[in-house]
Amino acid sequence: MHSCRALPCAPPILTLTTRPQGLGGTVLALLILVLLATAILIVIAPTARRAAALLACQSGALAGIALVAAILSGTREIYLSVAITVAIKVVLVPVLLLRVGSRVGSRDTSAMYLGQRTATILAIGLILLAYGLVRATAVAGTLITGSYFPTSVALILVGGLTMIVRKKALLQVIGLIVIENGISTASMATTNGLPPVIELGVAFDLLVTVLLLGILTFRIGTATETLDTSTLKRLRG
Amino acid sequence: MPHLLPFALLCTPLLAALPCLLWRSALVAEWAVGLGAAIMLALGIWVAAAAGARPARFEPGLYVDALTAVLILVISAVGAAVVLASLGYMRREVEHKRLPASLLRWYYLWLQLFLFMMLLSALAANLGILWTGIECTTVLSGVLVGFYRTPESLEAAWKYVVICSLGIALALFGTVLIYYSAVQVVGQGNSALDWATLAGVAPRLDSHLLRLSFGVMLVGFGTKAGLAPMHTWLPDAHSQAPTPISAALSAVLLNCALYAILRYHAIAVRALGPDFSSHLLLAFGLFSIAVAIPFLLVQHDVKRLLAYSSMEHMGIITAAAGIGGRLGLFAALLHLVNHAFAKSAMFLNMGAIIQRLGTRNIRRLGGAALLLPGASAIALLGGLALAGSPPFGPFLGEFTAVRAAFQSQQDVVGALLLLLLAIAFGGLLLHLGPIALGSPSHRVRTAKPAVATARDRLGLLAIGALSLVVLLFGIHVPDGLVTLLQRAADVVGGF
Repeated sequence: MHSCRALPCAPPILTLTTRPQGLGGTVLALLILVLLATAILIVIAPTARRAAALLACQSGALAGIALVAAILSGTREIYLSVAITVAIKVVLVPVLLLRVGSRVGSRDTSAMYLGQRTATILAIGLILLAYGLVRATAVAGTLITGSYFPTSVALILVGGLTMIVRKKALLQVIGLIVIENGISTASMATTNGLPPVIELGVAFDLLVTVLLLGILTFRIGTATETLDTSTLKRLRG
Repeated sequence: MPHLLPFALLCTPLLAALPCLLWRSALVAEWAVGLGAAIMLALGIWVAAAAGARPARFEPGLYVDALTAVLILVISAVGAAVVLASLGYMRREVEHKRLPASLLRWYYLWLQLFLFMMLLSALAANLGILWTGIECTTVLSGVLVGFYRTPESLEAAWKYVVICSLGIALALFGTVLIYYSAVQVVGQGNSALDWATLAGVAPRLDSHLLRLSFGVMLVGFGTKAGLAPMHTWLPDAHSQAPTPISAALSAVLLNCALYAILRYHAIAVRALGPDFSSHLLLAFGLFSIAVAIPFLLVQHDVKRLLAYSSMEHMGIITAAAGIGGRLGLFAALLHLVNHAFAKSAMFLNMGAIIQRLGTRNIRRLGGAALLLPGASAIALLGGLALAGSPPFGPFLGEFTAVRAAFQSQQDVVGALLLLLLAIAFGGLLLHLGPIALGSPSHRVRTAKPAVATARDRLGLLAIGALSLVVLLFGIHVPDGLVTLLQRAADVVGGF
């Protein structure tokens, strides 16, 4: 698997760095498609609530990838990260976002710095760039050249794009979580996820961050009558 | 060191937070956090003093070596001063109707949790826990930055949490990458993120992955440490937070992020040799100083001035670490300690002046010496200290950094550093001088006299103690501290 130097190495672990054959491979390919498609749709989502629903789908696909990894590698610990992902990323975080979204209600429009078409083209361009970039530099000697690592880089880039082109506070939070999902994809693909304790800490952190940003969104809404972060321009220099 | 000592230190802020949560009374909260601060200070100094030449492990999950001890010293000393100064400051904020009294206990609750998370980041043996701790500090201090709920403070808090969460997400990516490279050597599990294990097996880690990991991680934690060009949140958050929190952000939190960078730097040095990560640190450090200077020169808001000065000093520490060698790393850590004490004294002291005169505008603060002679004197001396003038602590740090550059034949770096420091010196004193020495502004002449309460005296005690330390460290750095800093430099450099 990995070329070791003179010293002995730990036994190689079975991860998704090489594309599994058969049904597992097909399911994984589909899940990756879901990850990328939801990322693009989130960039141009008409409302924050739609974006939150799409985010739940994306996190679901991530949990699916973890589940396949768990079944294929037979590692019991991975089921734990599947459970954590489902509980926090698929259920709690989107529910929280939906609640904020519905309270905000009519003020929630799809303000963007770019047109829908331009944003879509940019998102697809970033995905292609991620694939090209990772394949081209293909960190020599390591095996992160399968489709998973480029996918994770693509998610990080498209999540960043969401944070940049969307004016609304909630969509920026969702962009941040897309980036987080990209990083989780990378850790799932390379090492079947981080150790469970750390995985739990990371998920908990994400939850409290979203909670705080949700509360801040409310307060900014009541203090400035808008959720448009482009109006946040008081602090300069 | 007794086995329970680090755990006791870690639990102190949590225990002090409990009464804030359970009782509605602000008075109970104030007593709890006041006592907690005293205990934290004592335990912190004990841990730092007991940290021997050899690193010690405390199961489950804590690790203390000289580098940890340096950060623990800073967190517990400055943290205690911040808590003590908060007692008087926050009461006056309530008097001035900037805050309802019912929110006081929540302020102390968040502050204690914030201190706990910083201590956890410092003591964690595991890089994953270190990451979790630093991310949690973002959320907790984000609450405190937006504590006044004014549009400006909410904007600052929003910007702070979004930008730093983004940065911290990149740091998580770096953590994932280093875990991947370690798993191939030590197998899966927590030990593959254990700092001591990683430092031990560093030469066997995949060098490409490690380079990628360090780069991503430096940008990530660098965002939190206020390194340019990821610093845009810093002046806003530091100026909008309640002033004791500004002191904690500037003097402690930035250092926690730098500590994380140094931990990764230590692994990178052992794996890739000193050049790769040192050059990156040097570049980011010098660039941060250069970016901060124009803002120092044109500033009108005294808290933003101090915030940009923090950015400049983080740049100096990073650059000194990048200059490297035993002397360079020693300079970085010495400056880290000195800046922490000087900046917290300055912020807390300036907080008293700002509160008294009701403005942060430098012009309107002019001639404050007429009204507040003691505080203005400390502001002037603190300004001199932060600008890097002898006989104060920060001068020694900067001087040692420049010396390290010339000693290791990096003449261009040394000259550049000297030039930048000279401009920053002028910029800071240009603004801070008139506060003490200028002709009294309208506000100063019309301000009503105030009576100091017992709480105010505690704050004065904290500011006085910090200032005294800055002066003492400038004249003579205690031998114990020199030994500790040398050992910490060895931990980073792997000498």
